[in-house]
Amino acid sequence: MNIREATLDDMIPMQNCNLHNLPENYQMKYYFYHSLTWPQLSYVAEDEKGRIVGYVLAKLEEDPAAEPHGHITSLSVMRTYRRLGVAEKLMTQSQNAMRDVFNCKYVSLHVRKSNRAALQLYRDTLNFTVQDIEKKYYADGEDAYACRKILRED
Amino acid sequence: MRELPQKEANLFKQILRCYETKEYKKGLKGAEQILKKFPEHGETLALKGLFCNHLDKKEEAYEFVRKGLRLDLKSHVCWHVFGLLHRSDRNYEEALKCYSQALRIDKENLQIMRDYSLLQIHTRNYEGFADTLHQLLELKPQNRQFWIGLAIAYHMMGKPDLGIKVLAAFEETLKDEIPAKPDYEHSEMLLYHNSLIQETGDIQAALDHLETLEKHVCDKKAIKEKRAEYLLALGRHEEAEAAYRILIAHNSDNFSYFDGLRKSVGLGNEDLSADDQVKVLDLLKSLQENYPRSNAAKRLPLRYATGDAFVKVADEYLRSMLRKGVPSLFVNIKTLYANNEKEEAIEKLALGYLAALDKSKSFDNSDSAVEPPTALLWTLYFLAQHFDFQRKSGQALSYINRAIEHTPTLVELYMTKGRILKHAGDLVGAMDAVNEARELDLQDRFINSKCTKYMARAGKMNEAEKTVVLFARADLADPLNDLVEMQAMWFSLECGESQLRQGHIGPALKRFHQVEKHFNDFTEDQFDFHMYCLRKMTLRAYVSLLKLEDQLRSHQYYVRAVEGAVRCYVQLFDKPESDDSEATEGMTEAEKKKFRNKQRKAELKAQKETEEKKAQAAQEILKKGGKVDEDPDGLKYTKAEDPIGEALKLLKPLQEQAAERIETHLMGFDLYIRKNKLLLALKALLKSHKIDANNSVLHEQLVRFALAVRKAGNSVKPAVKAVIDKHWDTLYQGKGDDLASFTASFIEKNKDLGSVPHLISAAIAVYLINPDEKSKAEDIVFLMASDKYVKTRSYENCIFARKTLKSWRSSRFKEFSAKAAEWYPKSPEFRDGLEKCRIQCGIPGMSVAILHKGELVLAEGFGKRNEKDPFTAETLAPIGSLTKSFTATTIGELVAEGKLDWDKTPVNKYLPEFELKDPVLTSQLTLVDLLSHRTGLPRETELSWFLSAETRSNLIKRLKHVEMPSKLSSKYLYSNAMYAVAGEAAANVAGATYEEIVRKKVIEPLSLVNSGFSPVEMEKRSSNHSMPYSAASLQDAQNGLFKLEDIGDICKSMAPAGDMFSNVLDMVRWGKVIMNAGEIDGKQVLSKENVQETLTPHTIIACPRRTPEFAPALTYGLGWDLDSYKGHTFYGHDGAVSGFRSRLEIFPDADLVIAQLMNVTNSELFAQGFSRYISDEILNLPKTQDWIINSIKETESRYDLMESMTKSTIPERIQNKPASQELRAYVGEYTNLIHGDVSITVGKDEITGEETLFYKTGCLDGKLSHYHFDSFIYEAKYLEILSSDIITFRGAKDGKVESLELMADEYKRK
Repeated sequence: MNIREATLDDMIPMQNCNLHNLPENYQMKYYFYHSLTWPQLSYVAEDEKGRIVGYVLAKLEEDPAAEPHGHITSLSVMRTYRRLGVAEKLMTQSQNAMRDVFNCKYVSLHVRKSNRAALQLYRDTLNFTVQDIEKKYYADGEDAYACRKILRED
Repeated sequence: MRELPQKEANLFKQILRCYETKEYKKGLKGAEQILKKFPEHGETLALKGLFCNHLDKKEEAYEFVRKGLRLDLKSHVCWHVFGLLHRSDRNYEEALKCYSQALRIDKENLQIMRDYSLLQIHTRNYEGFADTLHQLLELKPQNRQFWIGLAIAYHMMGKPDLGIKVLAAFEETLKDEIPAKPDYEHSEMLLYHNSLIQETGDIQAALDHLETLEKHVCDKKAIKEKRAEYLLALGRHEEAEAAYRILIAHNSDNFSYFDGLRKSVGLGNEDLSADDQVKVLDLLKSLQENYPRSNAAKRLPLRYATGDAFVKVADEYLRSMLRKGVPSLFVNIKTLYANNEKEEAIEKLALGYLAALDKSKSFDNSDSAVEPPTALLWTLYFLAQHFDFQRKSGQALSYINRAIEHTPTLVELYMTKGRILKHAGDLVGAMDAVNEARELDLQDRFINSKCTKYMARAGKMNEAEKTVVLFARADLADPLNDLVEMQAMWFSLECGESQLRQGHIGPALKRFHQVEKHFNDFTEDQFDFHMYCLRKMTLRAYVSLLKLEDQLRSHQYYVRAVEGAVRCYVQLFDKPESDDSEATEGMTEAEKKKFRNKQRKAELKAQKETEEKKAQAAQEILKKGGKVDEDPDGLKYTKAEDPIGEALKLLKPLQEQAAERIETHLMGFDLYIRKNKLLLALKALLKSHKIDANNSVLHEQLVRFALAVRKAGNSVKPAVKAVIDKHWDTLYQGKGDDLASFTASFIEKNKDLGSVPHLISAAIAVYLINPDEKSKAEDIVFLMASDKYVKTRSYENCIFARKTLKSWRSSRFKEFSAKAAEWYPKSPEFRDGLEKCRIQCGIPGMSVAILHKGELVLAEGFGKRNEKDPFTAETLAPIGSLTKSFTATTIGELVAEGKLDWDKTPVNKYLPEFELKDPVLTSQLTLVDLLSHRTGLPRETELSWFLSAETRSNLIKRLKHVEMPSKLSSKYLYSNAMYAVAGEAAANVAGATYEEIVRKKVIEPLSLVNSGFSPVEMEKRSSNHSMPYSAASLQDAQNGLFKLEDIGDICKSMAPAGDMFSNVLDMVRWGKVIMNAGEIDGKQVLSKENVQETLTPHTIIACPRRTPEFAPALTYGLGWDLDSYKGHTFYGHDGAVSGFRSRLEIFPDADLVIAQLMNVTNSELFAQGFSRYISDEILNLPKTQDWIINSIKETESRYDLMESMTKSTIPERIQNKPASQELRAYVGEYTNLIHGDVSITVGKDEITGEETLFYKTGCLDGKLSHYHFDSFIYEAKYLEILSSDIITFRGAKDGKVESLELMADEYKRK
């Protein structure tokens, strides 16, 4: 499994991977927006044939009120490519870029309250902590866990 | 702005601002305010139009803008607005013209110049873009975006050196203000600058530049990557090696870093010498030690190692992955199978593991290394995929089934099973397997998506849509359309391709055009980013966006959409919708007319139905506030006047952006040749020829082209002919005038290739060149049966080959189907016969056994016996009224023993409790009267017997109250109740229960080991029993939509009439005994004379006029219908219990027995139709009608009948007529001498909590709701029919409730 920085060419397969795997979907323009604003933050996993089988789509949260930090918009790995630690490797690379390129102090993300598998991945494997519950964060009214991980200690 | 008074002038400025801030409604109001006073103010009118445009009023928008422009042709504002309007409609050419007109009027308008420049880059007019930026820079030399834009313009024009100059000049202006800390935007610009230097090819300069950047750049990884790349390119290997090692330390899973490292240590060759191979493996080994978590370091050795070294590294790799249970292991290594030696080595290793794991739970029979139990599971999983890859479906299935047995809950296993079945041509089975996987994990969208795909591939669009929306947003009005909104191209493509396969051209085209639209949107998406990226400075990314957009449509998804659409349009062109020549082939004109009339009627009916459904769905969507699709079936596409022209429009982007793909030009040829555009067709051929001269489709096209040219003869213009002549010899290797030898050499060249597509193409060519050579063409097609072609033979190309043979009207069509059915035993596609019939008729599962001349020529199950398991010949199911022949035969045995007689002693003597109202009749009725349905007992008598918990004896006692014809009737009137009486009489005489005597006299002596009584016992006997199903309509059944019924104990009270179960194996054995008058396996087991008595006509069955295939009159023996079919006598009987169907037929003179079991209600005619179909086939009888099609038609009307029966005949309700009594006054026990008791109680309604009445009869119970007066309504489901009826209470003279009336019978209060 090849893990590398995502390029514009990866956006269509990334969207495809997202549509197959996750209930939260985005139009192509949103993918373009990520890659054209923070080209260093998104990563893909490709198999031996060069097919995209996993990705992390990430951004910088530039809320003027808070200090800039990284945010994971979407992360997924095709079911048949699990158990290789791909998600963790994608996240590590993206987080390093957040820290090294954009000097981020921490990274945040949201998890559906019902998605126990994802919560387990973020909390137990990737060392995120649950910061808060955001009521009705998702379009269908489900709550989200707001999670966070410190990237550098000052 | 033109001459407005101060107040309006201010307002005009305000509305301009409204446009910038996107407050369109407010702007519109302001504009209207100005126009009230100055209705002829052109600029305001133009702006009003612009606002309308944004408020979705397109027509008005154009009207106002045009009017404004007309009134003020010299206004740059009007022209600018007109440009914006065109731009928003993606009409770029017009927009550019408007802008340039505006600029002619107002030369230095920055805003218009900017908008102009954006359109220029959007339309890739780089020269124009550069010009405009030059002008802008002259006006605003400080503007960073203009500098950068200019550099990009030069870069894209292929002049990176000029771009560098621009950037250097700009950087010079910044000299004094370089940020101390790295600044992201500045850093991105520097990296872009560096990439321009690299593009000039001066790597040394790029490296030198790079070394100066370090402290200004945020993206340090980019610097490291570039440095490594430059050093390697410059041959500075040691430094490059160090640079790559640093990169690997950052990301030990990036294959390109490993590649770079290998090259920098001088081992870059793809073909490694033995020494170098050792070195590479050593290098990777040390990396593996340093980076134990790196997948790359583990996997790469398998790529480079060969021979024994490969076996060693593969062994290590496989073991570790199998131990860990990595599902993607096979996908990950199958690329190695390009090398046969590696493929064999891996197979050997995996088979070795399996043997060892089976024996000793280790990979190599060493005691020390016991693996976890999952190692066996993953090894089986791996082997299943391995053999599937080799298309050895049988082996693959046996491994995957073992794996499923090992762990029945693992989703991946069922997915793989699905894939194996798909490759084996069993698309429905594949779908079922993947659906099973889906049901194991309903939370997982991935498996849901996969399942949807498999459903679409199996042609089950309804299911696919139902499944896919499970993950669409439930809050949306039209969740299915949300997938289109979200640009789910995979789904559009799967749907389009599925519809196309099913011949639904309109819906298919609609889907393919959706994909086209998504790509158009992706192109449009870039528009906003032109400005954005110049501001954000993410220039490297921006340049890749521009490059991506320039070849966007070479993407596989676009190609697939065009391929699908081209096929649709070609079909529309070749066979316009009204063409029915295939269906009406061989018909006389009168027949054709009749056929078409019928077709039209059917179409009208179907159209009406779908329109009603559509209207309903639209209502639903509107209710939720969604938008209704006006043309869901894509009719506008099928009505295209020039389908080929439409297809060419889609193809054009491929010709521009995917010219390197041969598909582009193969499609081009297909279209041009249909338009008779010989030159363009030739051009397409030349392009294909250049890409792959030996392409299989190309050969066929070349032949078609030559034939077309030959046919056109002198009508080809000399100039065109000259061009064709020029290329003739290149394309045809000098054999253009002797096509037969051209194709012969194509065949010769490819004879060792083992490619099925080449075979088929050659065969088609042979046939095209000379249709008289059909048999030679057929021979070529049949070559694919040889082993050489196994690897390229696929389900799809077999279907294609078969279709080709059909189009030739080949006499070997059937032979080919039989071959293909052998290769794809699970596919109904190549099956004629029963499986196809089953699918056509919509029967979930069935079994058939045929015994002909002592040989079991067929004993097979088809479909499913429950949700997941196959129906097999062994599957048990209730046989219903086939029980009657067992009852009659058992009585025959007792007759032989002298305990009973057929027709002398009245039954009342054997069973004194059996009395009828008329004592004379009681003293006359014999067993034969009962068993031949001639007692005249009214049929409704037994209605209350089904489902009844009463004892048979008590039910029989009620018969004495039944009003009957007083003389013994010889008329046939079917009676289950009388069979119950006969069975009880026999039991009484024999001193045992009825079931016991049948077992003792018949079942056991004949060793019918699979037969017995009651569904309860059946379920205990074997898990291989069927479940019962019903469908709401025939259409539902054909679409596989069934309702699971209860296996109810409904016949217990009438066991002798229909409570047995069996399977087709026992049934044919039973049939054989009857056929041989009681003899089996050389022994006379049953009394010959008495079996013959059961086969003697006793009653004539009155039935409508019969078709000439059958005996003029149908008679009944004892438990048997006696008939003949096309001159052959046969005994037969149907059986039905809710959700089940059986049929047994015995042809004594033809020595044939046919037994069938099915698990769906309403299949009586199918069972009969199948029997006719089978007897025609087996006995080689002349075909007189299509029994299957006819049984489908008649079954459809039976469903309609059932539906009308469900709607009961309840009187219209009269409002405001309350009950005369309070509820409690109705409570009590009521009784009817024939039908038993009804008890009425009062209780709380579970839903409303209010007091209400409840009823309970011998077989039903439920709630009563007040209707009007003293009538109450109830709803009941009885024998699968949902019905409502009325219970009416009646009072005595004193006003007290005395009786109730139910289904025209009176029940008196006890």
